[in-house]
Amino acid sequence: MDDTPPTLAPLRNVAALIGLVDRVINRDLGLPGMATFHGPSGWGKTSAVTIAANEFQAYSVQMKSVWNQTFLCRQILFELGVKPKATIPVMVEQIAAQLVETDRPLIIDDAQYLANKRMIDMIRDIYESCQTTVILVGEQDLPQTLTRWENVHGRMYDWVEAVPCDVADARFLAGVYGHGVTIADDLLEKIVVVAGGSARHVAKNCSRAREIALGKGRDAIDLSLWGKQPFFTGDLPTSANRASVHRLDPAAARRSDAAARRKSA
Amino acid sequence: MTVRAEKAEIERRAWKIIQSLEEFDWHTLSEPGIPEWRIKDILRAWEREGRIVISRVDGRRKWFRLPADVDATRRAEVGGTPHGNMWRTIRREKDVSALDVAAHSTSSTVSVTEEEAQRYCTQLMKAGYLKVTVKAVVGQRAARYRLTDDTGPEAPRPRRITGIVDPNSRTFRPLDEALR
Repeated sequence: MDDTPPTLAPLRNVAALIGLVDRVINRDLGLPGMATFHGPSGWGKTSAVTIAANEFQAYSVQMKSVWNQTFLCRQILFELGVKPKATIPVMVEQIAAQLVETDRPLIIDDAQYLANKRMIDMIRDIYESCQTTVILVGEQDLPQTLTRWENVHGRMYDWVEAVPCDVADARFLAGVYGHGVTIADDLLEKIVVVAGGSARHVAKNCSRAREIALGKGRDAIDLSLWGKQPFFTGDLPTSANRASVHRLDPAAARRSDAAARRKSA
Repeated sequence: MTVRAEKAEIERRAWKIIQSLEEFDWHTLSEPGIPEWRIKDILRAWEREGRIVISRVDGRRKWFRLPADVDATRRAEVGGTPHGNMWRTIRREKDVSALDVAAHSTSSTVSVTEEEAQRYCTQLMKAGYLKVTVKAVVGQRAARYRLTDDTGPEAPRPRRITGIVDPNSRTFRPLDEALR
């Protein structure tokens, strides 16, 4: 086991979010203290939120589609370590008081689920009451969604878009998740293409490459050593990688084989 | 900016400034464009709430400081701790390996090696906070863990003596003798 602390801070999306939080925290007097970080699912936003939360000791909450105002208040207070009171207005004041006291940022992940007037107004109320940094992280169309509410849109310090994982990011991820094994450029480029910009998929494939190399007693791997192993793409299993279907549901695999035979006949 | 928002912004900035000061009065916090009465109001409110205490009175001028216990705790919290960062990572990332935990928990002020993360994961697993989702294959694949008992934001801390203290639920879970 390596005794050097691994870090993902140099990844472009992580650096972008950390830079954004830092700029908003150190903004000049009078400038707004809310910001958004947005991009497609799988590009490493949630991972970046975890690292930024550790960097700034931020409070972070991951929204769910079914949450209402009360539940969101309760979850934020749970993260703040404060016992929630009964009503929403009191809980908003509790949140604001705690944020002022600790002066730590609040990061709301999956903020696309805030997209109704009452929820978004409540977040604005919290921000107005404490003026502490509030970062909304969400999917691609989050900025467009927020333009529907001018009073929130106008309080945004900056809008930063996540970027897809490229070869430079992949090389970095290979150093962390493929440690001890050298992953050749041809394999790394292939991994970036099949991952479609997803840092999570790149990391999983790098980890798989390490397993394959170590399993064959090698300390380096390229595309030829990877061979016909399926890449992790996040897609559902297809007939091309039926091995995984066989393992999961042998009966379904037999039915699928029979159907394929009938079709060819 | 509304009056309320302006007051909150001044309060936020003032609170940040006093974190690094041994002692302060209203002059310390005065800034161009901010009336004297507003800063004095804020200091009075903080004093009432016990967030600051009077350290001395110099003529008509009051000097304040942070209470000793709050001061020490707050300064320790600023940069985070290895256990705090690892616990936050485990809570947020849901399904993790020790390498994931270490890579997400290392910050500019906290270092976490894979070995430290592995030890913490094993301790949490033995204490019933994590379960193994993928078993390790020695020399090839690391184990993956999933959080099964999210007790709150404060990190459960292993204790050398006999087990794990969780400040969230104020509980103590003993570890097996073999793990000590």
